[in-house]
Amino acid sequence: MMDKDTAAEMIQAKALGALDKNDNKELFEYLNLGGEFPWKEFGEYQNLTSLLPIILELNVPDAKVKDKVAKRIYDAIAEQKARKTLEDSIVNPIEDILYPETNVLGDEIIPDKFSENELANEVFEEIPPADAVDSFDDEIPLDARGALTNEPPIIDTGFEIKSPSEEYIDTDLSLPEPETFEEELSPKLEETISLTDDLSDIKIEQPFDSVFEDAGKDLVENLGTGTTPEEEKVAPPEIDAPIQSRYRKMQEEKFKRKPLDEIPAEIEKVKRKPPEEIPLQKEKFIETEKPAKKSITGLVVDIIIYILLLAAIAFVYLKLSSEIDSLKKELNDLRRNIGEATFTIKDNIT
Amino acid sequence: MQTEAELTDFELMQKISAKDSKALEHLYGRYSPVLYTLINKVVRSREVAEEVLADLFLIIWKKHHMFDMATENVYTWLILLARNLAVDKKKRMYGQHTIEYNDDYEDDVIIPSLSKAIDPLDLNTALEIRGNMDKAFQALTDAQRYVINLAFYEGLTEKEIAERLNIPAATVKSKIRIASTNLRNLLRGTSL
Repeated sequence: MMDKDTAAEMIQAKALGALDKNDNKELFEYLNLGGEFPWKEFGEYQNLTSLLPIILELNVPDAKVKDKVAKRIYDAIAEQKARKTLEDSIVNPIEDILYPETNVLGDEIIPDKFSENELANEVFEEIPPADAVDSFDDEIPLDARGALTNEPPIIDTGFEIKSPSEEYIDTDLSLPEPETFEEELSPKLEETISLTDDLSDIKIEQPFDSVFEDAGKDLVENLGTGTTPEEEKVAPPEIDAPIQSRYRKMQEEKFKRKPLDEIPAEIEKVKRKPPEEIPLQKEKFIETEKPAKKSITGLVVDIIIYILLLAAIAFVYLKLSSEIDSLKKELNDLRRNIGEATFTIKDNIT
Repeated sequence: MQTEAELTDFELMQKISAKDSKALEHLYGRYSPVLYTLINKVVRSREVAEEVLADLFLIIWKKHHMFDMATENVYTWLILLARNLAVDKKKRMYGQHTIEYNDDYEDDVIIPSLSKAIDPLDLNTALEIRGNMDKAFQALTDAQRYVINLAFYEGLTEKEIAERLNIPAATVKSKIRIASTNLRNLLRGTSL
């Protein structure tokens, strides 16, 4: 165990940085155990040692060293920022990175916590190192976000973007499909046209203009006399009662308020179909689309084709049957030959 | 308002602690000649000295919290830091150091620990007593100056000096102690 005097003898060497490794270790242990040490004297020797280089002939380093120092500081700041960003990305939920907080203009809001490391007074701004730019890639917000998604950051515009299925349910924005329009509204158009035709039969005995003029005169006269001239009364236009009642009924039907529970069904009719259903509908349309009537030419062509097919079949049949006959003949010849040969062999044996 | 040029070393260091890079720039402008001269004296290579100087200011920037603000002694902290870094660099250059250079090593070996009871000292004061210091140093014997040079600039330990000079380690310890005490007394006699 080191004593106080031994420790005190070490202060000069310790201040000069010349203390042996073992002595240094012993002194460290001694001080850790709270041993007495002439700290004031040691401080004086440290100051004395630090004055040694002041007596040297001082040289100024090259100006490029300042650039080098600035570059290293830039790099250190960039590294620190990158580390901090990485730490924040680990701490914060991933959504915060993918969907950064934005202001009304859609610009990303940089949290205030970055301002303390912003280093607005960037190191040695008078002499920005030319190669320092590369080391400051993290000045661009790590749209890490962008890099992760390969898409620009999603900006909250305040509009609710619905999924495709939801979008089609929104009847306020949907438009009827052309075929739906035809299916649903064509009959109504036809009815309107037929109604106009029916009304063409209506006879108007007096032009409307003259009727209003006369009515005005009557009003003036009535106000003056208080009597109605019976002989000058304008007869109402005669319209057939059935037509009137039919027209009225159609109008009522047309503008009748539908019960609330029927509205969804109506909406369903005019609702825009989801895009994936449209091809299916087209396929159905193509399947159900049949030719109305075959033309005579078509029939003739069909008959000719049938005849040709029959002829071909007959030709093949005949050809095959003839070949079968010839094969049968050959077979018979062979049998005969075999029989003759057998007899010959038997004869030879006997 | 006080500009950086008018700030004391300690005030600059406080600003550096607040991540004021302008303060670091001023500290560089103020200290780079003496630090560069010291480093160059140790490593004896202009290019290496420049590298070490750049490394040194990076350490100041990154490890400013290792400076004990209570001492208010920026000068001694910077000089000893520069000396330690330069000696380490030199020893690595010559393959005398195989210990891995990492944060722990830097904190324990390279960055100096100043005495809690040290008096404040800044560059201006050091420059003011430069002449007296030179006189005091020249007043030492050649052997004493040599031993101090070997210890401070060469970075040799007492044992290494003894081996180099082929003298007992106890003699070296004595020489170092006497040389330092004499220098201190000579300087006190002139100015301090």
